[in-house]
Amino acid sequence: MSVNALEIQEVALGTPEGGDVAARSPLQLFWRRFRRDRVALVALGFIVVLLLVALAAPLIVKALGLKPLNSPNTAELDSFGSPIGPNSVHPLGVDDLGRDILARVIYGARVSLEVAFISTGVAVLIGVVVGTLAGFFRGPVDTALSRFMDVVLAFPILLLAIGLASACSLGNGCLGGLIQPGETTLIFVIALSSWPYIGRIIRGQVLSLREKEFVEASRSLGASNGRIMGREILPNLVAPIIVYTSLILPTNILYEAALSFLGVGVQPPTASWGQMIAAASPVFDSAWWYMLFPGLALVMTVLAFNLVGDGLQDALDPRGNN
Amino acid sequence: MGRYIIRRTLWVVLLLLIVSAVTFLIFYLLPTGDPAALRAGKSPSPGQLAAIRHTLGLDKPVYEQYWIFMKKIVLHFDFGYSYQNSQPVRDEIFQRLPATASLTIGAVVVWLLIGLPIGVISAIRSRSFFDRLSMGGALLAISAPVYWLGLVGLYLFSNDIGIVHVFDGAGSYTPLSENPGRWFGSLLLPWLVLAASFAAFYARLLRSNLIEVMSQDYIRTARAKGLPERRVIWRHGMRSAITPIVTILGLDIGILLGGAILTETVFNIPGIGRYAYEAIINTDLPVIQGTVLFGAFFIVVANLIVDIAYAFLDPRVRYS
Amino acid sequence: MRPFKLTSAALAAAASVLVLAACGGSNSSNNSGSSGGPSADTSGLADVATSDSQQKGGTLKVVTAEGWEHLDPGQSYFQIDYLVVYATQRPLYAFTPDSPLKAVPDLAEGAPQISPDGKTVTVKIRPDVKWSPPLTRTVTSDDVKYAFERDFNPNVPNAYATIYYPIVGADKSKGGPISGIQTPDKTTIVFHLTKNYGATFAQALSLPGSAPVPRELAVKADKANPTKYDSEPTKQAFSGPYMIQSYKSGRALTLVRNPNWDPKSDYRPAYADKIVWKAGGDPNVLARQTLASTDLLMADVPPAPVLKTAYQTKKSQLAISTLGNRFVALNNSIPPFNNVNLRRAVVAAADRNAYLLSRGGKLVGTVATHFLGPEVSGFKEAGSEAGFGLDFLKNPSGDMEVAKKYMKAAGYPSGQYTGKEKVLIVGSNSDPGPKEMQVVQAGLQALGFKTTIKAVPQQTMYSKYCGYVKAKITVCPTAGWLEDFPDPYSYLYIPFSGKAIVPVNNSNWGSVNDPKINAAMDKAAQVTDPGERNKAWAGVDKMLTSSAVAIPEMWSADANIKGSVVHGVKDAWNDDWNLSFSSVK
Repeated sequence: MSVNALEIQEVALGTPEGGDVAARSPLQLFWRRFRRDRVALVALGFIVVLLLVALAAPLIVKALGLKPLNSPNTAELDSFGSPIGPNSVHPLGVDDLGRDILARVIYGARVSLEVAFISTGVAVLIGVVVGTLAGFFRGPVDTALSRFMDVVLAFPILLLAIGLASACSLGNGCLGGLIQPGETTLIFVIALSSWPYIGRIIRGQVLSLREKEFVEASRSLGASNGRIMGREILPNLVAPIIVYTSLILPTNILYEAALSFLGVGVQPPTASWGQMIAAASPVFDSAWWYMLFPGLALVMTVLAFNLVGDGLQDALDPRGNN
Repeated sequence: MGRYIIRRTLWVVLLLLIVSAVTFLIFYLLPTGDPAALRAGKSPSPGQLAAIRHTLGLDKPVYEQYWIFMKKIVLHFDFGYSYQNSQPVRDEIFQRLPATASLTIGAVVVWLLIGLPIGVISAIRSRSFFDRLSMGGALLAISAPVYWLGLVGLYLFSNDIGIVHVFDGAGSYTPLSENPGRWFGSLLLPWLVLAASFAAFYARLLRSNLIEVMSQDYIRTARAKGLPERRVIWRHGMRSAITPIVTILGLDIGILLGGAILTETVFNIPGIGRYAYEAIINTDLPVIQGTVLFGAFFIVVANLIVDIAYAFLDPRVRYS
Repeated sequence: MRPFKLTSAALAAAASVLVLAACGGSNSSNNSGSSGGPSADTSGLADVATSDSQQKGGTLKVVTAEGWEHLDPGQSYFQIDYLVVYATQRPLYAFTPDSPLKAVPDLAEGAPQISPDGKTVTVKIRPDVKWSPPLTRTVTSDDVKYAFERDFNPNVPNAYATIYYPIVGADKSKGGPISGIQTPDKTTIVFHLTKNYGATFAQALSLPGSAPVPRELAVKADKANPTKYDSEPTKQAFSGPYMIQSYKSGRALTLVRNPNWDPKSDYRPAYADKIVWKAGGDPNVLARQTLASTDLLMADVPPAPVLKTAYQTKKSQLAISTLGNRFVALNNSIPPFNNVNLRRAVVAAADRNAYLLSRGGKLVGTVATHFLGPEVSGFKEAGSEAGFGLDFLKNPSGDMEVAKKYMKAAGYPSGQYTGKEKVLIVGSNSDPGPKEMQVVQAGLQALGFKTTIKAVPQQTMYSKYCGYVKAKITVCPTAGWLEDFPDPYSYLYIPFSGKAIVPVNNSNWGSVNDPKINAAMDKAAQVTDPGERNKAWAGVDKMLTSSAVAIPEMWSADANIKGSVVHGVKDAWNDDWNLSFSSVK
């Protein structure tokens, strides 16, 4: 939720020096190195477990007998409407409508991961395509695409996102109904504001790759532009793409939480961590469990992705290990 | 060099025009509220509504509205009036700028003072206990929501509602021109909160840059020449490790001058971020338009300065 | 006639709503109710009535999370703006902390004279009220006349034009002279109305729209769009005990004494020498600061969790009184809720107690059994807390058996809705809006309705959805109604009369348009005798309740908190502090 965390990550990604990625490392070597990083492995394990939990959320919640998930349950509120704390029926307590927090935290993982993965995927896809085209063709194509990225980057991003998110939650949504209110809007807004970072970095990489001998060689053999991009350049972009994806993912998780926190995210009664933290902040000194558990889930998830990202970066850039 | 600066400056102007047009489109074509309805009271007659629509110029085509809007900005630097409380947007933004600037500059100083030394020590003692501890703490700081951090800070340490009375509480902001001492006291906690994740990020970045630089050949050469390690680090290592950080710093300052929404709200600092956020909540279009443009202005100007600085440092940039 | 306004601090997710406090003796009702909801113990709460021990002098300190909107008396229409306007300007009449149900003359010298046909209202104003410096001249009836003229100027958009619309010639006015207003001499003003509306019009003369505005200052200011009389409030001329010395919109305001104000001409004691008001911030933090202080008055509603803390640990700094109601608007004009029995079934299935708890429980109100609230006249005639004894409103937590009965009557023998209409629920996205929507959704789902929730900013909810007739929203659960003056007309007419429906900014959110009810309201509005008037409006209330035009959720209670020493005095009708009556000690 921290805006500045978003900003700094974004800014860092925007600089050409943001992380020197050795594009030459073969993937196997890279994996072998990554395996040596115990912390990153543990973090990766956590993410895998989290993914499984998110996928199996309905089963787990049912098996543990956690309820209610969505419908209000006033039996668990006192006469001031305050929630009760953890007990044997509700291991993490209930929220301000008397609903089970553990169940909602588990379901919240779904929203969080779904939005973060899809928006990151879309951003990376657009960023790679635009960045590759700009870097490969240079000249007017590069100018046009780079200027376009400049425009997107010139916006105060959080303001734009809040504005877009609330505009797209109106009526039939944005772009003629393509962007529906709720998760689609979140994905759209997050992808829209994060792709130019990837785009810039990829452009820089491609600019230097296209001057390399093997590209020259391929060109002199009469390979088409499409073939050079697909066969020669793209494989060399895999490593940086992995690293920057791993950097942008946790940022986008925070981004989703921030927007939900500000009330422009998923619609109730769908559970989301950011929205739970927002609802809990007024009662956080009297109902600490309400704030703590969704907050912990958020921080641990972001931390895990950051640790894995660090591990990936180290593995790709062995000099950092010296 | 002169031509490069002129070219970049023209681009900045164009960029701001595009930003203004896009903002106009987003908020006027996909409006979240009907401006005339917002200006009118409850249950207005259709006649009253039409009269208000006319005085606001909303009965004109969109391009004409945009033209009038831009003309006012360019000719009179007039950003219009808030629908919510009739105040002139330009004056409101200027009145709030000192608060936002105080918050930003103070936070920058704090995070540089904390982040840079930690980054250097962690790099020199890479893999030491200190390094692991501070880098772990930094990752945590980056993952902590600033809003939450601010509230916890107030509940624990403010001198009115806190458990331990250390810092001035929310709403105590005093302009520098009024009372420098109270200005400093009132902003101390906001600075620390806002600076936390930045400090963490700068420490991490400086550490990795420095480690990388120190493994370069020219550093080895310097060492081989028998220069003292301290001198190698400061004269050779830091110089190239810090350049990208200066760039990022410029951009961060630009972004923050557009308003630190959450920090300003938690601590009740009357700055631009809070103003912008309230405008969005109230669908106060002239204020949204004005604050977005101001935010964009700081971002692109920061970019411009960074680019020009780079061009001075590295002449190749000019021709790329 | 004001819809409740949430504080904009959605960030803090804390906004709660206004309501009020039946305490301190100035208010008659004690809502311990047969309605079944939990009820707060009001003993030991702050005394917010006037007292002989109050002392003059000192600086009164006020805080709010929310800033002001309009301090121009002709435009202000917001609870916290009223605090300022009623301290700086003098409308013709006013409801006061000592006279919460009957308006007393303010600028006027005596009661309004209403002609027998109800079409002419004559008011005499005091000859001894002077404008603040630098104007420093006697306030005349022409100043009042201009105040009404500018109410119809598009540069002065306001809510009063609608209320004063029945003045002859007002429909053609764009801010110029209105033929139906005459000033035969410097102290007399006569209003000619197009219909028998005098009884209600006279009540509406207690609104700031009737406060005088001097032509020589304001005509020029009103030529600007928006008027400078609003954007530069320090340059207004003031008739009340205080003047606006400095104003920073959304941030700070200072009031100082008006040297030309004569205490002998006014009912206001005006204790404080100076009033300093800081706006903005997190409402949770502000509320806690207020509780920890000796001298702060918090003028917007503290978040529910802080209320609980105040109630449990600092009860003497907490004031609670009732004001306004909250109901779930069901669209009466489109399927599925154009079916009266279906609406009754929905009311029966609604868990109104959960709704109350979602807003903060017993400190923020009581479960309602009909529409008219405890603070307005007509409440007793409408059966007080018990209401009209309708079976579908009997159980505050909902009664599925009764709901089934009405589902059957509506043509759904299984007790489940089998029609194809989908139900769209639209409400505010700031707390507790999403909670309220979810409570209402649960009730509808229990009856088999397919529902979708749409949470949007408060302003968007009013201007694009619930108040925009063409949007045809089925359910608007986060709306609340706060009367302009404590008269049942003000409480029921706009939200429920078909004649009040306008295409944009509509406040009859459920598009309730029942010819019989419309006629009954028109008739009740003409009654002058207080006893008969109350009975007539109680009859309207009964019609509304029994045809289930909306789900009556709660009679709101508005809590206010203060520092431990300052003596805050509350206005029951506005349910907030009265700055001219509150004192530092």
